[in-house]
Amino acid sequence: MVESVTSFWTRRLRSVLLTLVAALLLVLVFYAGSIAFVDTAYLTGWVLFAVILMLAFFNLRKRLTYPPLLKAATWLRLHVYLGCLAVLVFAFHTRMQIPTGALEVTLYLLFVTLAASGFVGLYLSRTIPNSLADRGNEVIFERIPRFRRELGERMQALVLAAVETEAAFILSDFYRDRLHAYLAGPTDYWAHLIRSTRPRELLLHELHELRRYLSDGEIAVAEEIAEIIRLKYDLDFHYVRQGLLKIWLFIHIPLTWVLLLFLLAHIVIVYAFAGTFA
Amino acid sequence: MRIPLQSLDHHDSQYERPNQDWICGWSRDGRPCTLGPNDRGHCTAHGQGSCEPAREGDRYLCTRADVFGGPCSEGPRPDGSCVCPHPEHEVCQPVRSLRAKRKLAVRLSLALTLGILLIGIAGPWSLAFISPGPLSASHMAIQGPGDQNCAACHVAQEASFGAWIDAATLALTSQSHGGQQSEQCLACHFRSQVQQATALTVHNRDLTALAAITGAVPVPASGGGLTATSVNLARMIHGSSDYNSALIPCAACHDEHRGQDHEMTVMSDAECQVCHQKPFESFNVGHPEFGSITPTGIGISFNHQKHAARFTDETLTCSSCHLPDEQGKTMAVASFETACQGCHAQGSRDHHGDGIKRNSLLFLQLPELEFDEPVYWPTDGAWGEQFSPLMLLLLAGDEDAVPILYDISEDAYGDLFEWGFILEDNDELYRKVELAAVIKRLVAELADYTDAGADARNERLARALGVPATSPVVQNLAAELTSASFVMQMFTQRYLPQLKADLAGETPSPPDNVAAANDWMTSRNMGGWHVDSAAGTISYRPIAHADPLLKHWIEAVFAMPSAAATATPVAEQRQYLRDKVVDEIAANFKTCTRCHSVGDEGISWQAGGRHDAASGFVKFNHAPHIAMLDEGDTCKTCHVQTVEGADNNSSMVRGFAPHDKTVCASCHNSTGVDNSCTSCHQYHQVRP
Repeated sequence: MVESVTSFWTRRLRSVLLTLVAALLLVLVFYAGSIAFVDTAYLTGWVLFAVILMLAFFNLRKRLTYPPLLKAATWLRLHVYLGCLAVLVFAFHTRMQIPTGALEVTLYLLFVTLAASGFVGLYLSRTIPNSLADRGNEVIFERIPRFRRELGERMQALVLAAVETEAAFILSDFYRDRLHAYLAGPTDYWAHLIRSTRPRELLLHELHELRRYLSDGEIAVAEEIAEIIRLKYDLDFHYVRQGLLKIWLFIHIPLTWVLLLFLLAHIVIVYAFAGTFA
Repeated sequence: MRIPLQSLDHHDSQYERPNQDWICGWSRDGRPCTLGPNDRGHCTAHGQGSCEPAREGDRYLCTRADVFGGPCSEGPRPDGSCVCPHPEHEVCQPVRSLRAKRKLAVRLSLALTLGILLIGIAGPWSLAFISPGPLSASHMAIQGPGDQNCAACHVAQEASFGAWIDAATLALTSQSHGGQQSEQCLACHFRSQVQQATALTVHNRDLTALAAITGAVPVPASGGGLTATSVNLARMIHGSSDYNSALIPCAACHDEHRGQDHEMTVMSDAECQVCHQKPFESFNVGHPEFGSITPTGIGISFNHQKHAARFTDETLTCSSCHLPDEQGKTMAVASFETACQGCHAQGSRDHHGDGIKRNSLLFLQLPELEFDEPVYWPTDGAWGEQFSPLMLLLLAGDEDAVPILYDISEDAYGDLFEWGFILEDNDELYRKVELAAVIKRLVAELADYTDAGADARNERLARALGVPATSPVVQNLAAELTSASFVMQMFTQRYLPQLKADLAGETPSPPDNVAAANDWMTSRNMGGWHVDSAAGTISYRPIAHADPLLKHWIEAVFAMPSAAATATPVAEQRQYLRDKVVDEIAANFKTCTRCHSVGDEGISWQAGGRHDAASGFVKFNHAPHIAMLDEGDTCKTCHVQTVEGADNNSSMVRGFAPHDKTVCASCHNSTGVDNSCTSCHQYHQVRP
């Protein structure tokens, strides 16, 4: 375990150092070009295009099972650090100025949005797994509806049994008024986004307030109900936060292809309007 | 105590298929079927439990597919209905998986983007759509309203999108771009052909001139500093630039479409120095001293020392002759009439004023020729024994005259202006007849006041000078000669009245002595053209200082012939004659060249040649510097007179010591005012 932690930090340090060295080299080449009559707009433009192509290739690589070009984790690391370099090259290419032409403004906004979505995705992928692990259960996203349904059925069976054996009408009323809707689907999205447990605690508090009216048998049932409430809340937590990990790609990936199309148009127009020395 | 939600053991865990495009419609309710929809999104529930039994003879057979468990053990009922009508689920409406939805989002985005690009590029707003931004303030007038005038600079505007792709491909494969833009730039900037030829070369100079300047400038003393380090780094990464053999597009330095406030002419010190031999830190650290820059011309030769010694009472100060222009940029030299004529005028022992008008210039005289055969030539009034320089030059514009004049010069041992006795001693009749013919042709052309005559004089001068007929020196002198057509007609009537018939091939009788009847001639004391009937000459008396004909005549003499004009044997002979004229003019017009210096680029009529001498890359604004002079400071703070420099052309200005760099660097340093290269230097030799 200690060894794996060490290798993780060594790997990260090595990646960061390599990225910094690459960034420094790019800065030197671009700066030197700017004073050596090299058309840096073209130089930085082509470097940026190449980097964006490599970044986009990550999406294709995930679909390819052959040839085995490095591990997916290695590709992800490359994607992250190349993304950081792309922002640097972009800053040189735009000279840190917001363009004014319609096409170029569109390109600018597309890249900025794409890069921002990438950093948001990086943040989510680094923080969400830890928060999920903190909740104890491991759940596959696609199975969550099934587990939710099982919990609902378990709750319904528990309450019906209590009504028959304990005449627990208070619990059945509580189930009808509060728990049935709670178990019918995912709830409390915003609370899960900010990792709040307040809605769950409010519901448990309401259940706890009923204990003064319950017999000993009903109290035992209420404790089981409380456990199901907690499980359902964790399930929703998984659903919302795992969903975030999937939803951000709905912005990042389509934007990548849109940007590539705009880039092609940009390149054609730039070269067509630049002319030749023929 | 927590209840585990699921078992992750693969034996107990259902296999999920998130990479498939379709999932069971009951998944949302948490009860998906085991098999799920097919790859086309169709529910398979109807085939999971029941089938459509097939009749075989008098029996029905179960047709359930193997993938759904194969034929059931019960088999169909006798009436052919299925005994298993209850599948695991009712038929559902399969839904797309998240992955499929994302793929759909990508496709829709691409379709939308293509639509936007097509509308943007092919639509009515295409130019506004693809324009990278507004032009700089100086080019706003070109742009016009609504970005509609891109074609003023970009030829691609008028082409289709397909042609754009072709142009882009060509630009990409040729590895060079920006040429067409530069041509569009040159349509307005650097208008003259001479400038356009070198507009895209380094500093707009040809390589020889550039090498001469480079050789004249000493290597900087210091090679250190941040700027030098940056330049060395740039050379190391991108290699040493060899711009001498390349054309540099305008856009390499001048960025457009960056808004009205964008400065298009900004250059850093490192950008300047990356091409130069040895980079240095800044003006105050490492810049070469001014002293060793050799001027190529000094304009008006003016001896400051001599004039200062004469006016010790300070009635002649710097401001007597040097006054700031309207912007205060340059200290212009006052005109001759303002600054010089007061002393160099009528009655002065110097040459100006009446001194110029006193010297009448011989223009044309008919040589005294005697013929043994009938030749139309005056027997009276032709007493010339020498060519005038102007006549000789005009004759050199006649292809037939050049060999004759060359032979005469050979016989006269090279002295073309003393040829009369040679003709007397050497009886070469054929030369006399030919000489008379070319002179008569010249007289006829000079007397022709029509457009045809003007064109003929133009062509004659162009051939004689070896420069194009469109050249200003030809045009100017031809225009002045036109004013002589009146007196030339009078001259013709006086001495060669039947000239037109003679040139037409007729044989008119020799002209009689009609001098007495036509002795109407102008006074020799008047300025301008006049005929001396006694001497049989046409002369020109300059009107005053800066006489136009005299000025254009001297300019034409010192004009450099083109290489093509000296490439034939006749042209070589013509060049020989031209050199004779130049020598004669140089000897006879010392009164002009004493002040108006003659350099490689001709004669300097105006003062200020020293600015061109500094290779055209230096700029200086006097106004702010004069305003900063403290009390007691004068022009001499920077301009220090020196006895040694009075006759030394290596000084910045004759009679002055080279500027002391430390005087400039006392303010222009890293902690003071601007000390960048472009503070004093301009990249283009002339302002585009």
